[in-house]
Amino acid sequence: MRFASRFMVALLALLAVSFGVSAADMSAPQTNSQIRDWYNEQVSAIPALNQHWIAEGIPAEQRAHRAHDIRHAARLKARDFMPDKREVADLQARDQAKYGNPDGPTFGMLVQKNRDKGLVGDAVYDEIIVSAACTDRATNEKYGSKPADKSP
Amino acid sequence: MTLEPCLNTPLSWARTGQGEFPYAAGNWLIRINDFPAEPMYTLLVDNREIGDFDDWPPCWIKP
Repeated sequence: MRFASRFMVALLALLAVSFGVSAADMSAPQTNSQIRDWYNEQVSAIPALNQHWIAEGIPAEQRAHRAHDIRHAARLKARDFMPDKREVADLQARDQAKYGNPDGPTFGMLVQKNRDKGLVGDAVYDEIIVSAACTDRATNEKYGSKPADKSP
Repeated sequence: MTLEPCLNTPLSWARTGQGEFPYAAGNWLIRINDFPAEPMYTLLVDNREIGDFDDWPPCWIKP
């Protein structure tokens, strides 16, 4: 029952990201910290989806593609939510300088990065699935998404 | 030095032309992170990380 509930939440998140529910269609986050909370919620659905995909017998590479697509779509949608488009331009300039791509690392870049770390076989793709669901937990726990609100 | 008073200090920032460190004001530097997976900004003073934040303070003026 608990898994079914979690799976439904994950499925709704996937549909929202995949089919581009517009900001006007939902309660859109207004600030960057709200946008980060929204993003964390989207990618937190990936582990439950991955378990479902494993049960369906979907190969690791295909699951990694799906997980990466969800994360990447959520990344772009989050930037779409941002009210200050100068900040979006700054993020794109940062990603261009760091990855050579204004929208962040591609699937191929992540595969190569994991191979460079010495991973082989399905481990290359499992790492992509794990990292796709990974938020900056240490920072979120330390500061929250509203650090100024939680400072002493 | 802690983040909170820094965020409340009126400042005018200048562009650096560097993608990952786009703004500077004296020895203060702004780093842009892997937002939304990470906080949007990190403030560095004398190359030391002071703290992370998501929303640009209203009393900081961008170039």
